[in-house]
Amino acid sequence: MESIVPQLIANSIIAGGIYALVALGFNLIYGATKFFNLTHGVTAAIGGYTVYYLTKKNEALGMFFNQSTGTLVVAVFIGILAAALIGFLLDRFLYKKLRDRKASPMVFLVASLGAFTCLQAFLAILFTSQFQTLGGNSGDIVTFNILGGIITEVQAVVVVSVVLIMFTLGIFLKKSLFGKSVEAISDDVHVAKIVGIHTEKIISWVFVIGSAIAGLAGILVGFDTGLEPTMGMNLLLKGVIASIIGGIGNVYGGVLGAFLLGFVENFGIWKISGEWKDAIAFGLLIVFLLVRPQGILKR
Amino acid sequence: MQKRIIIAVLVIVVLIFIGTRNNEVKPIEGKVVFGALTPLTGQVSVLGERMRNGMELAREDVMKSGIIKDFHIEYQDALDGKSSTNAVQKLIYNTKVKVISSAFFIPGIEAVAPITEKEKVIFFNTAANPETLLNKEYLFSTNVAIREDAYRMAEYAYNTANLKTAAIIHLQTSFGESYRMNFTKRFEELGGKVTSAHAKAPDANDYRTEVARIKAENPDLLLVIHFGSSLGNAVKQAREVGVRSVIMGDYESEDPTVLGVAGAAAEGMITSSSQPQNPSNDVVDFQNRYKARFGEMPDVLATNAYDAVMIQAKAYATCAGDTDCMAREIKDTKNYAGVSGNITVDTKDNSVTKPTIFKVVKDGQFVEIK
Repeated sequence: MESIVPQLIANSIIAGGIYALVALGFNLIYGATKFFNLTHGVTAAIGGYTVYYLTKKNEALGMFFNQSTGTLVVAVFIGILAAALIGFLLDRFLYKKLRDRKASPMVFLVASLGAFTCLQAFLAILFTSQFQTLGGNSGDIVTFNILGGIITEVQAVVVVSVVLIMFTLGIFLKKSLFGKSVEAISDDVHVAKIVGIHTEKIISWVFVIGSAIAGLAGILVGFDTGLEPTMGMNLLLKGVIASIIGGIGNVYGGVLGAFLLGFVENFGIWKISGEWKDAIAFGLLIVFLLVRPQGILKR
Repeated sequence: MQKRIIIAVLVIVVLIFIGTRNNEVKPIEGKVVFGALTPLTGQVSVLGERMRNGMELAREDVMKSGIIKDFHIEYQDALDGKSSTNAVQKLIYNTKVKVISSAFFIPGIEAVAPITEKEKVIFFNTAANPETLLNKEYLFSTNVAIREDAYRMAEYAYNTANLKTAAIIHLQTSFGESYRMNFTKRFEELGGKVTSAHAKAPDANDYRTEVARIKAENPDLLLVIHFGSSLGNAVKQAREVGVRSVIMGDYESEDPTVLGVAGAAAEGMITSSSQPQNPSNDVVDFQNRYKARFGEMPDVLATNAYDAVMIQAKAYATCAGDTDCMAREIKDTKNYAGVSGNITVDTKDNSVTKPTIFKVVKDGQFVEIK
């Protein structure tokens, strides 16, 4: 019998990659604002549905954007921009107003849940609740055999994107003035204001960058398995678990947590039914909350 | 002489009995409303739309035939247990329907069956019935019973396709469980071996771990009992990781959504089907009208929903709406030439048998295997 281990490792890396993309943006926004931004999940879905509109829903646009890999990349870029724009608008017209009123984290959480529900319903109205796929014909899909584990082209892009974004973001936050401003806001927003940091502008950019990464996650999931308006909550839950177990607010921690989650989930159901996958994920979360609440890496 | 008298009395009794059995369809003049439970929103709303399309054509045909002159169907958006219970309570207690035409999601039907049985409401399912929904007084299906379908699939796989080992991915509902159980029973009776079975939720889209395990087992057959996009993803992901087994699905696999998601990965997939092998003029006429009106060929749910309304409407007119009489009439259904196949109801347990054929996906089309 062929060994299942290489494929389980590949599956773990693929799942971890998706969770990491969500956790990267979520952690960045949480680090600066200190609230659980539930709209992060639906922002991912908006990225995916924008590409769906450009490549499949609208015939004229579809003819243009499906011409070549280059035009498809342009569609993906527009999808990322759309997600970033939604992130910016949410911050500008919802979260900023709550910050101005000095609302509690609970109010932020409830407001983000409300916005999440509205945007999800909006997607369902625009695109119906039907499952949609971004990918082409499976016969055309390129797969790679890495030491016995098979991954598709899209899944390889997921893994490469995570690594690139993680290091770029990590270095950018560490070396740039913007990164130091984010850190200052994260430590104490009032002191950051006193020392002259334009906190609102920085937070807006944090939302733009975080949402753009979420948009990319949604697009890649759309190419890999498909899109549905409710996809955001599942993505978000796994991203949040990854962030908490990796170390909330820590860019590298979120990615580490995501891959740990991917491995524990996939190897956890090696000998038992796949239906236990979510139970294993939440079990891991509970263990971390009890044993190491600060996560693997501290902020 | 005494013998002749006895015979004469017996003849008279038989004639009286025949005379009192009212099989004649009497046109109903007043307004008649049937109910329907169809998912009109959510991930599987496309299936609900197709059911509604089939029922609408049936409603028009019933009115044209004149057996019910003012005929309406009240559609309720329902799928799971909670939404189906709410919908059925509304239909029975507010709208006062005596007949519910179609529903297809087994957990929803299982939730409401006790209510429809208690209230003596004739209730049709367009999906195949598992054992949990057989032996009811007022609940029927136009679709073949799961036991029948699963047995035919096992026999086809083992005897015709020469497949000796099988892995199963199935819905985590009594529908999927019934397919798994019956297929395994028959397949192993024949000498085959089921290497593993994996239950998945109705909205599952990630099958990577299951297909990795199945790839390692390398069975001759991968039986997937699911529907819509989830089924499409199972097929796609199986082929992506290199599962080379023949893939087979139940009648629900014959769905454009599956082909849309799985794409070329679906090529070679085998499905069971109850579609008429040699469609009559009526069937062809129905298919043409459906396509002209809705822009696609009717699927298995649309054809079953059409047949459900037609059978129920005829029974309603025959029995003037008396549901005990209707239940008896429906149980008497033998070789009903429906657009979904030839329907025969087994009087013992209300299970339906239909001739089964097998199809294979070839160049993106479901083609009958001759």
